[in-house]
Amino acid sequence: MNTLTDRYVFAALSSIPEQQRGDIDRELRASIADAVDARLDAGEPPADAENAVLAEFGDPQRLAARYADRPLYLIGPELYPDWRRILRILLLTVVPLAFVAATLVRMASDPEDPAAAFGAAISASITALVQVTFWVTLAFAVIQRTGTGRKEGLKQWTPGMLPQIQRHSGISLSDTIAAVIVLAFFIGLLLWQRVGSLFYLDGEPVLVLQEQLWNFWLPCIIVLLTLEAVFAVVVYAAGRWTYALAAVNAALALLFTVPVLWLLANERVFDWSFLSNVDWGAAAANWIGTVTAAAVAVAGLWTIVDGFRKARKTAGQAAPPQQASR
Amino acid sequence: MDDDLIGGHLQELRRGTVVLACLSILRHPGYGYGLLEDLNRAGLAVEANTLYPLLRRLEKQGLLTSSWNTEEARPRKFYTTSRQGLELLDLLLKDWNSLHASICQLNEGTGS
Repeated sequence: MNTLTDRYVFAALSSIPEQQRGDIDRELRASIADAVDARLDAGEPPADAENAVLAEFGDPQRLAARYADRPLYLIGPELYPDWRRILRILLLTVVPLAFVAATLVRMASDPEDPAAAFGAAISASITALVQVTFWVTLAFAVIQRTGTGRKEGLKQWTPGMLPQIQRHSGISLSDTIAAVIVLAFFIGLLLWQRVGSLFYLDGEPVLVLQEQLWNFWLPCIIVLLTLEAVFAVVVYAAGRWTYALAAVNAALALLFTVPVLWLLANERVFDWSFLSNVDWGAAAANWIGTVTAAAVAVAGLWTIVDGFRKARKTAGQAAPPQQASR
Repeated sequence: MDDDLIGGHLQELRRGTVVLACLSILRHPGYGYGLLEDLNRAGLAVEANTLYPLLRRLEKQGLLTSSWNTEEARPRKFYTTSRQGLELLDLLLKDWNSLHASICQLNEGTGS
């Protein structure tokens, strides 16, 4: 007779532990029948009454969770801050690592195809993102359900765990990561130039940079680029630009810009033989050299000015807290 | 004032009183639907899908005892406040009264 009630009770009980079912089944049916009777006594038609009562009881999954004392969420408020913290740290380290690793592996195995290397890196990053998010969330959902460390997160929070205040100096984490990735990309490009090339003619790699640069200058420049990446991280860790940091920044920029300009001026950078292959000639060699030199000079100058500009902006801001408290 | 706002705060205030009310009413044996009616009549609107699981939880905690009454046409599970439940009820009532006194004191002189 009570098809709708039968279906409701069945749906609610299916996720409740076996040994509790019989008792809850009988009680639930009695409660529903009582409520239906009350509505019938008030003059409602039977079909409407049953429907209304079950609608009031609501989603059977919700009812079952309350009977079984199960949470109706994947990760609760006790664990959510830890979940967010750990996921953030892992994503910020694993995803860039996956990108760089995939690029390097692909470039080493197949230097002829830069587009494929880039595609592989993007796809590896997305895979890393999805995998890390999935496994971290799964681990936290298991912790949530098994009830380990349920009270106040995984670790008791203490005031010592407070992060340092980020002064508004324009050093965002994403800027830092972007800077490091760009530098890593340049280093990769230079190393790649050693094994393969950006350009291919008739399946043969065309060397764009002169071979003897590898004896001294290119290793120096790669070390410098690495130092600049380290410096970007140092600035981020410091949390603000200071004149000292701006000075180091300027020194690094000069160390890069001056030798490169000197090398360009002395025709010691490009291997012009690649131009003769594509039949362009000396005029092209001239403007390529000039444009490169101008770009290097402008970029160097901008880096130096930008460092001092940010340092001045920070110095002009409100006094640090320790002075204010005195 | 916004009805949702009022409703939310009233619900928050009454949440803890459901247990207190159940333990009070069930000093005399009662069954699920009857209790729901009693609570609604007392102005404590409780949803069925909250009350029935709550009764089982209180029973599991030893605050209620239960037995099936099969004498009538429809078998019903009757709950009664246990001795432990009565002790808790006593404590909760004391707390309720002291809270009431405190709140009254805080609002003294404001008139209403």
